[in-house]
Amino acid sequence: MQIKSITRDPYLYIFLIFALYPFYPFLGKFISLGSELLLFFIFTLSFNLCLGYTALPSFGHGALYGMGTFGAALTFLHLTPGMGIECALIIGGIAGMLGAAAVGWVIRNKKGIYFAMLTVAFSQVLFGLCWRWDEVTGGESGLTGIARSSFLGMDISGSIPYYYLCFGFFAACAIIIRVIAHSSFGMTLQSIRQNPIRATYLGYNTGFYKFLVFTLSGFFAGLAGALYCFLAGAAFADIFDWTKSGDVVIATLLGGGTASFYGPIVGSLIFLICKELISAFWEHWLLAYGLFFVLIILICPRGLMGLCDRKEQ
Amino acid sequence: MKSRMIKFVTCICMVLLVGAFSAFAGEKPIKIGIVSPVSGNYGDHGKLERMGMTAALKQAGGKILGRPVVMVVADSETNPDIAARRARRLVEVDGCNFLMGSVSSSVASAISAVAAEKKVLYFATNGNSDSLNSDKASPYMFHVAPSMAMLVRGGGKYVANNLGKKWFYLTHDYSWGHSGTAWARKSAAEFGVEEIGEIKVPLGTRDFSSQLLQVRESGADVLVVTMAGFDNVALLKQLAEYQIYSKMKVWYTLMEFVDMWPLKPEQRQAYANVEVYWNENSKTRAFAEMLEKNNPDAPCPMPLDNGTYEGWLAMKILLAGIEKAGTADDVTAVIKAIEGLEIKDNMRKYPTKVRAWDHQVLTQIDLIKANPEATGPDMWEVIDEIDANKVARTREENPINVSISN
Repeated sequence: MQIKSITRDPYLYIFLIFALYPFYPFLGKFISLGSELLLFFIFTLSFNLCLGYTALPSFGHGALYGMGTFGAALTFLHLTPGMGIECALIIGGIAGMLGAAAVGWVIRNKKGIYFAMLTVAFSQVLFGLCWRWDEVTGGESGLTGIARSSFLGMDISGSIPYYYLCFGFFAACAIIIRVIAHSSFGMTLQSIRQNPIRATYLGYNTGFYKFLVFTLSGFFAGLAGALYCFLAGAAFADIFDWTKSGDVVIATLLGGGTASFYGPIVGSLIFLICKELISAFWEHWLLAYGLFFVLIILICPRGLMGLCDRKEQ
Repeated sequence: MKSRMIKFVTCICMVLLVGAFSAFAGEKPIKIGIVSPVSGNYGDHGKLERMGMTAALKQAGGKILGRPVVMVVADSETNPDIAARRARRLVEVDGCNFLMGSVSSSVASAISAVAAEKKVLYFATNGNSDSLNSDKASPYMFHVAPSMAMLVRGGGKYVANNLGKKWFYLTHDYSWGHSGTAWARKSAAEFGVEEIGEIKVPLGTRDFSSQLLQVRESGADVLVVTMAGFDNVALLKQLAEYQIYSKMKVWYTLMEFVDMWPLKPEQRQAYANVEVYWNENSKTRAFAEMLEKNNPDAPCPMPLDNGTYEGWLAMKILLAGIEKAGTADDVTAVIKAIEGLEIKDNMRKYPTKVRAWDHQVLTQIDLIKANPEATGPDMWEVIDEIDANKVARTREENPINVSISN
């Protein structure tokens, strides 16, 4: 019975597919895209805890990712230069979490568009701060010279070892996020999504639950951002721009984050791979990409996983 | 449940398979990866630099060391993260040993980080930040565009001696704008100029009414402007509307032809530092005519702008470096060959030199005056041609060394 449940688990296949990524023809050579995909998965899965599970439209989630990136970059450059990246990763995750906690506490009881706009405002404030605070964030030129060296004594300077480090983090985060989503805490979040008034009458402090999920989500987003900073070897203020938050919303909706737990993974995969491939062949690729997105949303408003779901019903 | 899962896994596999097989590229001899804005706000600037690169490649017969040279273009979207991803693709998938492009310093820094990690050579073509040669300098990057220090000091002397000694600064409020004004202040101190005031303009400003009213009443002789992008185009229009030109001279520390060209003639009255002007001499004129003929879709007439020239020069330096090194496979040998290289046939008054210790390419700065009566593309007059060697930062001012030759 247990073996059956493992073989039926989509994670098994996702992990298998990505464990073999470096060996694929063509894509295997583009190893950094693989690492970026895995980090984007963590990011979108964390975002979907807010959007898909609690109906919190956090349209400034890129800011939490960016806080992780800058938290890790500054730690690595100033506190632990030349040392392993463990400390920087932890600080990155915590930076995302603290950022989310600070904003989340203020806006926990805001609804819909107000919540969305406040999160966007938060990310734009950070963008402005980061773009102008030359002494700390490097301003326009950002922070560079972040040469990753080791993680727990393992050499991760090469592309493939770093890919597998990202894979390890992805697997761990993906499992933890699913455990959270399927736990009684996750069920409570879903009840808040379905009917917040009823959840309140049942005795749940919905504001506190929203604050908690936003903070948790901030940790995973921050961790993904921290890992990204070592992939890029740099950190730039543009990461706080609203377009980064827009990317994660598009990827999650495309895949069908509101219909399935795995929607964000499918969405991120299509989002990044299509973007990279079309842009390589056609200079007006944004047009094709935009049309593709419109088409998907028209055909299946709940995203691609929503389509699978509907057919089954 | 089972069929849903099968569909889900199939979905993932399909995407990966499409990715795996649809983008096979055949073996190509020497590939140069161009990371440049194709779409978005800076698409025109990107197009100009790519036109320059193509022209240089064509002039060299499309070959070097008997091997054909191919440009592989990737869209930077003027975003450092995306530019870095595209640069990695060019190196990892396409096998490019050489990268070129960028219209902003942040994108240049991002690509430079990739170049340093992958040990490939990168030419930053059209970003003017000083930091590209100081704290962000790298043995794997050459900075082709002049830095702000060169641009501002190049024009500063003429402006102080001929246009007036009371300066007011209008600064774009981020690191590039700050560095333009900082260098202008240093010139001011050198030439006995009095500072009347400064206004910092936040990024994204389109309405300059309050700033320009303050400037108009300041009593300054010269308004020193360091602004870029669409904010700058809006400012150019409003300078004429608020009749700033009748009160004082306006000096831009950096201007692009493609930004000023779409304005009405009466809106073009400023002085500016530029990297090149198409009508500077007979060679640049002939080159601009050739570019116009070969590129009917160019974003402006006589499309020899700053970006075009830097793109052309970058390609020329790279090809000369490969030839001198006798190899395109050993990046270190090519870098060594380029350090200290001199290019004489660069269409300009002064030859181009590649400085070894900070990897800065030095050519020439022009000070131009826009002519409000010109209706055609000959809208500027070159007032002064300055040897970049004389105005670039010295070793004392920028104590770094990224040379790998010594």
